[in-house]
Amino acid sequence: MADLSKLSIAPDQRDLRQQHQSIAPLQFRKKRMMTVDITSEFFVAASALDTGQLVKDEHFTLFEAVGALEIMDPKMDSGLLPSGESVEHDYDVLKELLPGEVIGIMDQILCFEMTWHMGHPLSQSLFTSAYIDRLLWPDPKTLEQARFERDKTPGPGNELLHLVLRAYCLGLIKTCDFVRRSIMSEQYYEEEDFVVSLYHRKLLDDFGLADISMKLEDAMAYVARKTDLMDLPFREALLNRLEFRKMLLSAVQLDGFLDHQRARLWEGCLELIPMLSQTNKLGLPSEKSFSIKIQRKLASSVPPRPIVKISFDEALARLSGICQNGRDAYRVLESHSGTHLMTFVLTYQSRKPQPLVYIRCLLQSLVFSEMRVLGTMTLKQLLYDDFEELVLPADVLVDPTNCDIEAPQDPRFQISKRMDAFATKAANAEGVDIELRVYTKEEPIREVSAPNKVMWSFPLSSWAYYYKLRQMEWTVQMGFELEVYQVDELAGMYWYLHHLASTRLQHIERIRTFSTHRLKRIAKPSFKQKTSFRRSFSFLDFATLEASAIQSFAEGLSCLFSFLAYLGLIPAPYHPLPYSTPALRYSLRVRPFLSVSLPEVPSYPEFASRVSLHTPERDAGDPSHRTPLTKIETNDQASSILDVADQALKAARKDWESISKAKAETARCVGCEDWWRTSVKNVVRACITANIMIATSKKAISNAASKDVRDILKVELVKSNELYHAWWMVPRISAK
Amino acid sequence: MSQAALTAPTELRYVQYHSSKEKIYLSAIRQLISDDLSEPYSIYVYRYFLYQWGDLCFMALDEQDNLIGVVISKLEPHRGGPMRGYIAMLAVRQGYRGKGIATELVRKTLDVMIERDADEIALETEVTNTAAMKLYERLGFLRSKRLHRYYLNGNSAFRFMLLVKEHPAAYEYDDEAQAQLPIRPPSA
Ligand SMILES: CC(C)(COP(=O)(O)OP(=O)(O)OC[C@H]1O[C@@H](n2cnc3c(N)ncnc32)[C@H](O)[C@@H]1OP(=O)(O)O)[C@@H](O)C(=O)NCCC(=O)NCCS
Repeated sequence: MADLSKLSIAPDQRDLRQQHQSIAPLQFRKKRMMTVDITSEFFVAASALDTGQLVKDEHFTLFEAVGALEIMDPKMDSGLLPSGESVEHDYDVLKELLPGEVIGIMDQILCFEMTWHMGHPLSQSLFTSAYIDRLLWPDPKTLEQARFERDKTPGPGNELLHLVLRAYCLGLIKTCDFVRRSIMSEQYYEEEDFVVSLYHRKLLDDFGLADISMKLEDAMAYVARKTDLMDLPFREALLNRLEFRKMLLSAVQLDGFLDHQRARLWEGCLELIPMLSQTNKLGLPSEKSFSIKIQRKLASSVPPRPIVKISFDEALARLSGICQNGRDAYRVLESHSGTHLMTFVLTYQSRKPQPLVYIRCLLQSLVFSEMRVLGTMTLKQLLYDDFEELVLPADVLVDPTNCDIEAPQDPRFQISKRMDAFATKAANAEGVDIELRVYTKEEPIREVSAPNKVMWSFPLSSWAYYYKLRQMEWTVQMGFELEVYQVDELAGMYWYLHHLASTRLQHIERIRTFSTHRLKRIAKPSFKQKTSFRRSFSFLDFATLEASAIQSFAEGLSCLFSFLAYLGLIPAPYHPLPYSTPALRYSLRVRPFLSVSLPEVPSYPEFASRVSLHTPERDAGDPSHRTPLTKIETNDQASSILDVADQALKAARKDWESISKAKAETARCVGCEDWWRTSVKNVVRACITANIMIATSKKAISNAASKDVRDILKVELVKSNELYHAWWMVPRISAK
Repeated sequence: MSQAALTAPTELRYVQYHSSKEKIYLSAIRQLISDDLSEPYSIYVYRYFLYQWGDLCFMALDEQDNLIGVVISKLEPHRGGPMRGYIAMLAVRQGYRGKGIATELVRKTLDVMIERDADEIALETEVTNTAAMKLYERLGFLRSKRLHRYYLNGNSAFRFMLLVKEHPAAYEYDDEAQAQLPIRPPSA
């Protein structure tokens, strides 16, 4: 690489370079390394290159280029010190502290703990504290070594530091250890949501909860005893903080217990938070006790980065969020089937503000750990129960005793073998369905008019297809929530959602037909069989209602957006743009679904004909260029789109209102009923608003006897976070 | 097309970059781009693009040859699949914005990519960068996904895509799996 001046070894910085060099060889010598000065050879070699010429092998990727550092650039070179600045942070961690200072430090490190939860690295939060640094480095071999004096023999006195602050810090570090380990044992968005790096430090992972709790108790006993040492408010503030630490530490511990006791610990933490808030004002700031310089002692290649600061109020708000969500996560244990569990997970994870990573991992560990679902079921039990509820009520295929059969000639042995294969690989459902019907002696449905035409139930494929459709709907709906679609795409994406929901409706009908057929063929169903069929039909009924509600609402909004585009109040769906065609943009949008062979993605011409892409081009948004719309034109075409929207939205409202009245057991939302109801209520509100928008539009049209409707109506698109429900983007339409 | 493009100042020249121009322009390019960054790029990042795809880089220069705007891109097969163009950096000097300069720069880089047989073109921008989003959307880009906490400052990005050709073979590859390092760290 030529042009060495760009490498920032500028003459005026020479003295710094020397300073830098004088340290380096010393460190190397310790490791018995030989260093050779290659500066002159390097200059000679570099002079053979032109400026800008790059020596790069094919493995040097953009990733490496972005990661490359420039020596002597203060923002990139971690060893560079501005002249006069010391390497070490000079703060005396052994100095006597006032009670107010102890409170101040405790509250500050709590803020750091929260910024770490929010996704910032420890190097820019907790590890900038001189107290934490002293406890953790050098790595303590025993808990006793993890103290502020380190090698020195502890002198008497200064208990506020050695007993109280130390216990608090130990409790906090251990809490972080549990939190980090539970996150690392689950799936999460690495890097993006949470930084696990410890920079070669340890978080007291060798020491147990009991020992550290004891330290906290000793500290509490000390503060309670020393009535002469400080005023009551300070004593109480310290006691609250220590108690809170102890409680939080127990709440996050990793002992694999799944019970509601744990929820009570979280509740206990929540109850203490107001006290922390009220007494924060007793704390004295201790700015000097933390510094970005401590980052230089960490195993990290980047220069010190700024400390991430949040206010104590914000930290407490995050903390309350963690405690509430921690408590609520245990409600998942009330889910008693896969369908309830699914509703719980979806509803819980979509609460706003979004639960932090630790909480999401906590929920995951409750849902599934040590090969158990919710601590009780095996995965197989969960799956079979779900097969039974959706497609196979009281069917021999899901009979749990099948796996006890050892005789290969017994059909149940064969069934068990094939079902296991499906459950573990989830592949080739159709092939397994075809093989299984030999053993179940399935009677296909024959049409009376065409007895040669037979229909088989394909239960496992049906089950998989049901969830596939459901996921595709969610994927499209997430796009609305994340504001991925542009205004001109809304009519199309709501049409696609409508299309998916109606495909699911047809599929539910197919499943129902086969279950009904099978029930009819059971001469005298037992109580158990009846119960199983009843549960399955109840699921199918509710799924029908829900799919129909989504279908109508989506259809209504699709038409409403088409209407607005028709009038030129919003850009026409997929209008032509300089570097793109409507068909290419459609292809790009449906790309994620192309590898899903069934349901097939509608072709562009089909899609275009459904979304009123025939909308005349009217230079949307540019009133000076538009051609006037006559009243007749408006009435004939726009009104008819509006009428369809009107009907669909009325039906949607009826459906969503019925959904909101469903019992928790029917709606499969046991455990999360309150959140689920809130969410449905918001959809009902969105639906009512959409109906009002239609009424406003209709009125404007009928009033627009001589005027252009576009001069009467005004449209505003609402941001996703201001909507009643992020999946239903009802625009605001008003008369000017 | 846009209002902005129509009112672009005529006295600007749009010049294609070439390695021979590094001495004259590179430090100005770095300066212009860094103004909107909280973390600087090392010189390797610039050379990585400019050395390999100098012809995709365009500069807007005023009459005194001052750098007013720049776009830096690359073009290569995307994980063995389609030929993918990628707009890595784009900036226009404060005081010159809103006049269609960036639009013109982007059009120039797009034209070369298309001429060089690009199948698709991608880029990322911060979800709050209204000007950039509007610019790309008007040219026909779609938001293909939201990238959660993509930038160092914790902000999310939108990935924008423009399909130049239909190419069914490319549907096979997995667009989702590989996390790409943000080429554009957040503004401060
Ligand atoms: C993004 C940037 C390159 C745009 O440069 P520019 O020359 O102003 O762009 P153009 O004039 O071609 O087009 C910008 C469009 O956005 C609009 N715009 C600008 N700021 C806007 C805002 N805050 N809200 C809405 N629209 C805005 C402009 O009016 C213009 O649209 P118009 O033609 O309809 O009027 C420039 O703002 C910039 O350098 N920003 C900092 C670096 C950056 O963010 N780069 C992009 C990273 S992907």
